[in-house]
Amino acid sequence: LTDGARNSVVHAADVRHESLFFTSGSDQLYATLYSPAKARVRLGVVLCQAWGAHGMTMYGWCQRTGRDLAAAGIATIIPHWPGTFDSEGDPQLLTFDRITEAGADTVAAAEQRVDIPAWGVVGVGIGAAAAALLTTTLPASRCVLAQPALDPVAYFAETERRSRRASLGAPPNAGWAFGYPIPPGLRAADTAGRVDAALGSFAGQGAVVRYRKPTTAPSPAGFDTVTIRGHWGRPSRDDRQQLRRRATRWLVRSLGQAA
Amino acid sequence: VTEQALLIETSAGTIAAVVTHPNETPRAGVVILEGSKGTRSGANQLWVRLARSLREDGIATLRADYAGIAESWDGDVRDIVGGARDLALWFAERVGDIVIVAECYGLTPARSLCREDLDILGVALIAPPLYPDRALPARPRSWRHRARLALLRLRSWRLARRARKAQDLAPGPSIRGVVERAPTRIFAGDRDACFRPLEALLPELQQIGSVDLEISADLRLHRARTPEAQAAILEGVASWVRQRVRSVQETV
Repeated sequence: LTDGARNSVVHAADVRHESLFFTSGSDQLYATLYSPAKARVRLGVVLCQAWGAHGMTMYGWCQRTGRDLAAAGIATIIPHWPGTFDSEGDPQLLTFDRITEAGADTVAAAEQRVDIPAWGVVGVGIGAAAAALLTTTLPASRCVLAQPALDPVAYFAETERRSRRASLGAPPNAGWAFGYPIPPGLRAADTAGRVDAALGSFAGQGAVVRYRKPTTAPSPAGFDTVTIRGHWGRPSRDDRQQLRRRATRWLVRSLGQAA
Repeated sequence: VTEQALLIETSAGTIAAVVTHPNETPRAGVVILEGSKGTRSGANQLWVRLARSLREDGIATLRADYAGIAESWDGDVRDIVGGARDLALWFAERVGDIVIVAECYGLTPARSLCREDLDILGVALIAPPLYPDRALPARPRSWRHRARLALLRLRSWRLARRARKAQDLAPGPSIRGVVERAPTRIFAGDRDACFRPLEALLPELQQIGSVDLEISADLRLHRARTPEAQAAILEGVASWVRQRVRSVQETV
């Protein structure tokens, strides 16, 4: 049926774009891999997306970030977590343990296709909590948290509250927000503590890139803070270009310092 | 492996798509055209679940991000319709008969596909972009409407552009074009903004083609923001597609 069709193309700026399915546990997961087509890969990163409606709105941002990073010599793989987007799995059964397992399989899938000398993680929104936990299982030397939400319990409670308000009188669905289920396993009480511990023990270079407003908790110890003018809560006309550029710039500079 | 990730060249640039197909030769294909704010997987994997459910009945499905959006970022966002059309033609060449499932904005590319020389078994429209006259004036039918549009045009370029866009979205031409071409089932909830205009338009549509309306009580199907709306779309569309494919192929 799909004979003659490709799953890999090279875009302008010599960025190779590959779409793939790979096996993780009993599920087939989807991922997008961006890598430099000609230049040497300096670093590989796993870009951890958010969940639910927020994941949907930041989906394009993640893809463009992958492109920007690949153009700078950083191979980027963006997995779709089990039960989200194009991946198989039950979204209600998702836990952070399953995510770290999927993260390790994602790294293996990328290494089968591209030679990657070292790894890092990038997380956006609640995906930053997943990125933080991935640093405990991956040999990650870099960790970039873009507008992070590091307390999943508080994050999902706020998302649920906003969804209730947005429904304007329609009967609320417990455990759902904006048409997406909130996996109970991600709301476990100990997750914030696990994330803090993971970031506390992270030995590599890290940065938090975030908007000036709203003010949030201070960055984890040892992490650089990159502040962008503007408000995270307001809609963006340019797909949050500054967030993307500053995160990419920090990663590229950190590689330059290491060299 | 029954799902394949593809990057397909179209006139609008590279488009990222996923084809879900049965192990045997497909009986027909379904082209999913999502709404303008969606991605190819749909809210809570709605389109993924639809594709996997239809796979059990020997039906292949094509889901893709529009040009310039999500993973198809390299495409030209000004040519969404052209990209979707090229992709659907590519798919139809391989599967033969197709059914089109279009949600909201998807009506625009669906109408474009209906102009092509394709074997279209049917079109399912979910919450098509129709708005009550007060919310979004459709075509300038009276001198008052025309005057209002002229005033909008005078105010600023941006407002004028919006008004022209409103005209492009006018329900009449798009839905008529689809209904004239293929049997159509329209899915809507009685809380959708399109519900009342659809009820008013239905008798006129039934005169020009085979069309019926499936209403879900106490629901808003637009953007499938609740589990109930998702279930209504999934069950309604899947059973209608199966029925269309079966009835046409039995006749043949």
